[in-house]
Amino acid sequence: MNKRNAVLDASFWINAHHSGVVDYLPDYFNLFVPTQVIQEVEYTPPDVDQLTSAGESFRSWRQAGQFECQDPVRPVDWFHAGENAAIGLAQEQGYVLLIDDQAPYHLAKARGLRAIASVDFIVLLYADNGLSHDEARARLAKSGPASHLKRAAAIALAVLARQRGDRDVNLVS
Amino acid sequence: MSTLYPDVTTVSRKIQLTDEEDKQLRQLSQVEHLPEDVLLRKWILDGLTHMRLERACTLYQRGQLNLSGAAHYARIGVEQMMHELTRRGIEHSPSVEQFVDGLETLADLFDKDGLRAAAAEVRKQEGLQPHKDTQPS
Repeated sequence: MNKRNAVLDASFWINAHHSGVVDYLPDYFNLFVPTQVIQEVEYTPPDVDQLTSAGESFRSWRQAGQFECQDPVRPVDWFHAGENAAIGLAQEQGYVLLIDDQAPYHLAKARGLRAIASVDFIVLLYADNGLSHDEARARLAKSGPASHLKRAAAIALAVLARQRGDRDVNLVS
Repeated sequence: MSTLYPDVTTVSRKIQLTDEEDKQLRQLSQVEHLPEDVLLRKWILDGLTHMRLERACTLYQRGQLNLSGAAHYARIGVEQMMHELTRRGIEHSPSVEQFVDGLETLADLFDKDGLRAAAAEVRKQEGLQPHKDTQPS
C-alpha cells in the first residue's frame, strides 16, 4: 500500500490515542507535525505535575523519531497557532490533514484540503481487517464522539460487515 | 514589590463585605487555619480560573474559538478542554457530513470501494446530499 503524507493536529492525536489506534497510523501515513502542535499536545499547565497519557505517548513517538517535525513557511491565520500551522503545512505540501476539531475541519475542507477524523480512521481499520467489528465498536466508544457520529459510524461498519460477510455481527445498532 | 511574591509586582484591591460576610470569612479563616487575605486570594484565583473556563466554553460553542484557542484562553491543555466541552454537552467532534467526507477521502487515497459504499449508505440514511461524483447526471 502506498503510504500518504499527513499532518497531525492535536485533536486527532488525542482521540486516536484514547481509542487505541495510533499504532496503526504509520501503516498508512508518513506523519508530519508542526512545532506548535507538539507544544499543544505536550503542554502541561503550571499547576499540573505530569503530561496526560496522550501527551506522554506523543512525546515517546517524537523522541523515537516516529514522526517528522515540519513547519509551514506561511501558517494560515484562521484559528489558533496549532491548527494554523497544521492547515498551513497541509496546504503548502499537499498533505492529508488529520484533525478532529469541527470548525477547522470544516474550513479546511471548504478550502479544498483532504481532512480525515479519527472516527474515519477506525472505520478504515475495520475495512482493512485491522480490527474486528467488536474491536472497531469498542474503539469508537473510547474515542468519545457524540451520539450522532457514533450512529453514522455504526451504519458504515454495518455496510462493511455485510461486504465482509461478518454474519455473526449484529448489524442493528 | 510584595514580600510574599518578591519576583512579581503586586497590587492591592479593596473590597467591601457586609457584617455577615465578614463574620463568615473570619470563621472560615479560623477553621482553615489560613489568614483571611490568603483565603480571599485563593478564592479570587479559583474564581478567575472558573470564569476563564466558562468563557472559553461559551466562545467555543459560539464558534468564536477552536479547541486549542479555547484551551489557551482557559489556560489548560487541549485534552482537558475537550473533556470540559464534553462534560458540558458542547459538541466538538466532527459532524456527520465531515465524517462521511473523511470516509470518501480515505476511499480515494487508498482505493477502497467498500468505504465509498459505506459513505454512500451513511449519506442516504442520514439524509445528506449525495457525493458530487455519485450524483445522477
